Formats: sequence, C-alpha cells, structure tokens
Amino acid sequence: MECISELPPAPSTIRGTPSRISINTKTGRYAYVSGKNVYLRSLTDDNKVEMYSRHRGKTTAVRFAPSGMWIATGDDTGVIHVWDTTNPPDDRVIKCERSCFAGAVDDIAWSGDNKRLVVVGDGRQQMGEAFTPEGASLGVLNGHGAEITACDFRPTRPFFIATGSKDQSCAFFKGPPFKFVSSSALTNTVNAVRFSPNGTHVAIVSADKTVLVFSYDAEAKAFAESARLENAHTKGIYGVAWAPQSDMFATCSADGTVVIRGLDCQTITTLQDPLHGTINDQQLGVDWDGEHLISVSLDGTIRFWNIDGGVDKRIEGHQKAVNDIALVGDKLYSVDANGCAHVHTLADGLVVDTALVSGSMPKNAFVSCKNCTIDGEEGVMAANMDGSLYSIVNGAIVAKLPAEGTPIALDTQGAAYAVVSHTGLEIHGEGETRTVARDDLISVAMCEKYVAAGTTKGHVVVYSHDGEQIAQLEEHPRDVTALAFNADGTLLASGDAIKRICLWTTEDWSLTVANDWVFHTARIRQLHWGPSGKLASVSNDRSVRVWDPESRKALADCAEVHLEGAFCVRWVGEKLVTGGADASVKLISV
Amino acid sequence: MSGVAVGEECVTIYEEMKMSRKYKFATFRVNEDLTEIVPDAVGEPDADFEEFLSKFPEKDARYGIIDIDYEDDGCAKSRIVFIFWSPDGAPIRSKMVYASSKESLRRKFAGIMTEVQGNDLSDLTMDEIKGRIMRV
Repeated sequence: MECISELPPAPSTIRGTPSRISINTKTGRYAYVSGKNVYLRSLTDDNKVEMYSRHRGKTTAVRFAPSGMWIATGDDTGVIHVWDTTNPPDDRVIKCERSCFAGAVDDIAWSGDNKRLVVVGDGRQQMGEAFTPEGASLGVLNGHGAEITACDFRPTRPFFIATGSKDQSCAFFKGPPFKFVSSSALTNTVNAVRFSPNGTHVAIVSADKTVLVFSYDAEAKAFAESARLENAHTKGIYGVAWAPQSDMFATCSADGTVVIRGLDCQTITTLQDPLHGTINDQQLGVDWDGEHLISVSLDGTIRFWNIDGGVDKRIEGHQKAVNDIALVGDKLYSVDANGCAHVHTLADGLVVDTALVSGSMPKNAFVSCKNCTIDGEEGVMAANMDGSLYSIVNGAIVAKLPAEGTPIALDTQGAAYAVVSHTGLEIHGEGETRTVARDDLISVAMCEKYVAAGTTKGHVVVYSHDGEQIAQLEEHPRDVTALAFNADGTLLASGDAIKRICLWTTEDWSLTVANDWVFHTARIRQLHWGPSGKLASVSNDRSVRVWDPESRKALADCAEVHLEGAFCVRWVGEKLVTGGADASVKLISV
Repeated sequence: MSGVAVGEECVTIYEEMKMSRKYKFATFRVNEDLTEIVPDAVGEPDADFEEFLSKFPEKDARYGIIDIDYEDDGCAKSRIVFIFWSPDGAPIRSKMVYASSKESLRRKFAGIMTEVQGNDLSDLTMDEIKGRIMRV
C-alpha cells in the first residue's frame, strides 16, 4: 500500500497574527506552515506536494533562501531548522537545528548571498539574532523592548536588518555585527517588514493601519523615512511583499483586501475576492514574485490574485483534524474539527477541485459524516458538536436538524439514521424516531436489520430498528470505539480503544475473529467494509490496515499515513481515502 | 523457580533440531499436573511460519522454538529463537506457572541467543522476530 495522492492541509492561522508564506521563483514553489509541519507546493501543479515533519512544536515561520536550495523554518518552541529543499524527503540534509528563543519564532530572513540569516521571535532576553546557516552567531539584535514580530535582511551591501516589534516601533541594525542604528515609533504592533529587491527601499506595515516606506540615503549611509500613509486600510495590515522591479509593493489587511501601492504608498490597484464577506477573508500574509501574487486568509485559503483584479485560483484545505469523509458518486466530502465541510472531486486517481460546502457553517467541530438519502437525493448527513445534524446535497447545506444532546457518532442506512449522543441512542426510521436512554454509548453502526452501539465498558449492544435490544456482545475489555456492518449485514466488525478488532457473525452473534486482528498499536478510530468484502481500519497509531474475513489474515498495511493519528477511512473502488489529525486527506492504493 | 521439571524429550528434540535440522520448530507445554514440561508439537523441516503460529492456542500459554532463516548483509543465516507465548486471554494461574518455569527450560537449551515474548499475534510477526535477531 502507498499514498498516491494527497490533499494537503491549509496554512495554520491565528486571528490577529500575521501568517508567513514564502515564494521561491527559481524552483517554482511556495512554502507555508501547517500544524507541526511545513509544506512545499508547486506554483503551477497543485498536486505536487512535499512535507517536512521534523519540528517538535507548532511551526510558525518559514522563508526560502534566495537560491531556493535551502529553507529556514521556525516553531513555537523557538527552534530553527535550516534544511535543503532539493533532495527527496528521505535524504534531506538538515544543515542546522538551533534553539533561539524561549517562545515562538515570528519571522526569518536571508541575506541576498544565502550566507546569513536573521531570526526574530518571542524571547525572554534576546528577541532577535543573526547567524550563518551553519549556526554560528553573527550578532544579537538589542534595542527593542518587547517581542520582535518581523524582520528582513537588506539584499545588497552595506547590510542592514530592519525589524518591527510589539513595542510599537521599527528599527534598523547595521552590521555584521548588527548594531542598533535608529528606530521609529508607530502606534501598534508592527506586523511585517520587507526590503525592496534592489535594496533601496523598505516597506513596513502595522496593526495601526499605517504603511511606512524608508529609502536609503547613500551619503548618510542610513535609511530615512520617505513616505507614510495612515489608515491605508480600514483594518490592521498583516503582510507586505515587493514586486521584483522594486517599483511597487502589495499590502494585505484584515479588511479582506490586497492593495498594490507605489513607492509613495498611494494605491495603484485594490484586489478583493468577489466571494468576500466574512471574517474568514482577513488576509494575514502575502508574497509576490512578479508572476504570482499569493495571500493567506484567516480560513487558510491561499489565493492566487490576478494583478488586473480578481482571483485566478483558490487553494483550499482543512486547518484542523479531518474527522470523517464520505463519498457520493465522484464527490468526496470531508469534515473537520474546525466545523468546515469540504467537497472534492475524484478524477484520474487524484483529489481535485476542493471547495468549501456552501451554506452557513457551524462554529463547532464536526464529528462524523455519512452517506444518506435526503428527500430522495443522494447526499451526506453530518453530525456537529453544536447539537445539530446537517444535510448536505450537491455541495450545499440544505437542512439543519436538531439532535438530542451532543452527537458523538452517527451512522446511516438509506434515509434512516442513528445518532449516539451523551444522552443515548436515537434511531430515525421512516418517519418514526426511537430513543434508547443510555449514557455509556460511544460508537454506532447501522445495517438494514440492526443498529449496533459500542459502550465504554467494552460491550457491543445490538438493537432492532425499533430500539429493542437483541443481543449484548462481550469480548472487548474496554471502550468499543469503532463498529461497521458489511454490505449485506452478515458480519459486524468492532474495534476497541486498546488495539484489537473483532469480527462477529450477525446470524447467531458468534465471534469469528477474536485474537487475529491485533496488529494496530493504539485506539481503532474507524472501520469500513470495501466492495470486495475486505475490511479497512485506521487507528491513532497513524496506520491504515486491510483485513480479509475469509482467511482471517492481515492483507496489507501502510504505516505513518497521518501524523498524530489516522481518523477516518473509506473505500473508493479498490483504493482507500483516509483523513487524520494532520488535516490532510490522502488517496492510498491497496 | 516453580519446581516444574523439564522432560528429557524436550532436550532431545532441541538437540535434533540444532544438530540435524530434523524439525523446523517445536512447541512445549506444562502437563496437566503442573509437574513437567513436555513436547506439544513439532514441525517438519518444510513447515512454514504460519503453521508454527497455529500451534499457539488463544487461551493458554506455550513455549516454542523455531529455526528462523534470515539474511544479514546478503549472507543467508539461520538461528533458533525461543518464543514465550502468553496471551492476555490465558488463565492467570497458567500464565504464572509458565512464566516461573521458563528459565528452567531455557537453561536446558544451550546456545539460544534470542528470546521473544508474545502476548498476541502482533508480537510474533516475522519482521518483529528478525528485528530482534539483528539487535543481538
């Protein structure tokens, strides 16, 4: 088994905090941070993805070296990694791993010759440091009174470093050994600082909506303020990026716009997504290489802007763990712990055309989504922690039904569905609703005749669709976390919180597989029967496995599919689609 | 020590396995009176690993020895590995007797360098056992 296609997660974002994204023209890629990982993606081919997963903390900053050979990334434990981007993931060279600060790394910049780095962040005593890519120090940035949030390196000599800080000022350092030269006050946190590619100007943007431009005075050998525009945007400004010709730059803001400005700060073009309107459109990061102007918004959408107006391309993905997936025809639905539902198209073995499901999204986490017949149409039913069930047909939310209690698990059979919540089990048949009051149910599966529910005590309780208890199966020592009936309802698979999967015959409720399917090493998260009668399972141990009920053997496995746990699995023909804690969706061949 | 004796046939089987490769594997159990360790099953030289695993009951403990063929730096080698099978489903008394008698059996089998404890089938995969051999 191997992963043949991946839909990577969207960049991690925090409201009111800039989000770093970096383009490298030479290698045609851009990089962003998501969870504990760093993603490198091709500017032209959306299916070309590379992941770097060696950071132990949540990644917070990323910057390509101008050559594109190396990249520097930082995390919220203050550690910087400098690694090469040219070798395949197994042979990657980590040039430097260095602990810089007690808190998060906020920004990174390279000198034009790829031989010096500056890193700023949330330190206790030092908030910024310059060093070589090998890790040798070139000086400490002294002069700011609070966390330094932004930095850039002048690409031409003499070298300067410009910084912006939470102490509401920006400063210049000259070096090496980068000594404080001057500072200018603003009225709020400085969010981004960037030198023009020719080194003559530097643009500084701040949460107080101000844009500042400094220009280099060759006689005084210092930078002096040449333009200032207050209230340049209607909300705080989070990112700035220069055009390669150094004659204009783009700023992005929480007001949802990306504005291209001249050296006098005046607006040349205002770009806004026609589909705007919510706080999710706050633009928190921007980069520009002349051909591509890309920005990150609060919901993690990466927009490729057309400089003449409008959006060429939107790249969407999940920002939090993918809790469940469902397949309707060639449309794949995925729901996450952020309350986002996405719809994708499966074509030629690739997951393409990702879009947000339309309709008003809940703020709570989705726990599950399953195929369901809704008013005669094939759609998806999704259970949300806000206590509602959402019906989704053709990529749009068509109805919202209340559930009793907070849903924990959901399964469907045609138009009927069963929901497990903290208050018990609800079985919705054709027009009739039956409830079973119990507080120990955590999983559910449904077939044409039965509804099976797993308890925290390790029992599987089988009910008829009328809510009458038929059998209680006792084998698991603890929580039964996953259940699945096969297509014709003759077999029931159950997985527990330890690692074991059991198989039951529904004819006489006898145990057919008890101790053979034990190769997972952590909690079983979901089970799904395939069209050829094979069972797929995913677990917190990050792996996905396939089992054969006839020979009782483990057929195949794929380890390390989703870092921090694989949460859901669906058969698509003879392939598997999985989702997990790393917020990605993967297509796996068996 | 539990006072459970080791039957002479056990040692004979091991010697035959080691010297003349008469068997691929052998399993041993403690007899009903809990006084002696006796042979349970043996495998012909062409028996496979699956057959060996099938000799371990789901609800009782066992000892086993198996000749594992493996490759080290492109060089084909074989080694006899001692397996202590003690599934979670076995009665507690049985698990205790088998655990306390294990050393006396192992001491009779001179030259076994690798021991693997199996609590369920996931501990007794070929990869797991070969990994253990390489580590010694």
